[in-house]
Amino acid sequence: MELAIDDGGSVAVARLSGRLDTDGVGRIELAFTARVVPESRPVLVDLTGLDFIASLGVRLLITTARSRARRGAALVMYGAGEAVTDIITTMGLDEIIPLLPDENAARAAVNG
Amino acid sequence: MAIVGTAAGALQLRLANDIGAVAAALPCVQGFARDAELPPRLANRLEVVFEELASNPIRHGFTPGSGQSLSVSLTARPDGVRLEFEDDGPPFDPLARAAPPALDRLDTAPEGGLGIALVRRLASRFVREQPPRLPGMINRIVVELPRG
Repeated sequence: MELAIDDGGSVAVARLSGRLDTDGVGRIELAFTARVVPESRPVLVDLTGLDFIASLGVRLLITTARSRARRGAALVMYGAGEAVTDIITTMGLDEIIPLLPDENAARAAVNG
Repeated sequence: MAIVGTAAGALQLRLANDIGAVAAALPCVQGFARDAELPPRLANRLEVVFEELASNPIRHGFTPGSGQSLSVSLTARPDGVRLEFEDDGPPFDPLARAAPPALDRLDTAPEGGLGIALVRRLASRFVREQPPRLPGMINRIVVELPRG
């Protein structure tokens, strides 16, 4: 499980790759929250390289997005493959955190 | 992690009281899915349910450092996959609490119980059965995932 934070100009892009399971969440949770929660720019979470997500990964996204939302800071997701999309939509995570098809759509969503 | 038994369309694993055992067993689960020629969506859902229900007793039920263990049996069937989990942790009924409502607001979304909620949504059958079939076990959970 890997996390990379890219400077995307007017946004920050958090790229998740690998498996967001118990082991994977343990590897990146501290760095993800430490970098994403205080980020002043809108954050796009790139799920393109994510192969797998389970409930701990869903919880990490909920808690991070909620911490940002409390101060009016946006977080959206994009690029999920079929397996990850299946779990996100089954959980209804996309009902509370926007899931966009690609980076351009995600940028448009946060830039209004 | 130990492979207790394999047969055509079936796999039985024994996981020790170590959260690393779940990740260590993953290649066996993936191999089972390949051998059973499960469609990609079902294979992914199998991995998700395995992850949730194998990690749950180790993270929340077992006494740290104890010799408690978990048995997992996977069986491929024409209509899907059957998963059976048995452990010797404290008695636990994952279905004792009502299913949480659908996620509809970020500010009130729950942080706990998401794994059981997810299994409820994926499974065509999700029950706690008594008694367990293996000697010394306390809990027995059966999940069926549909092929369609």
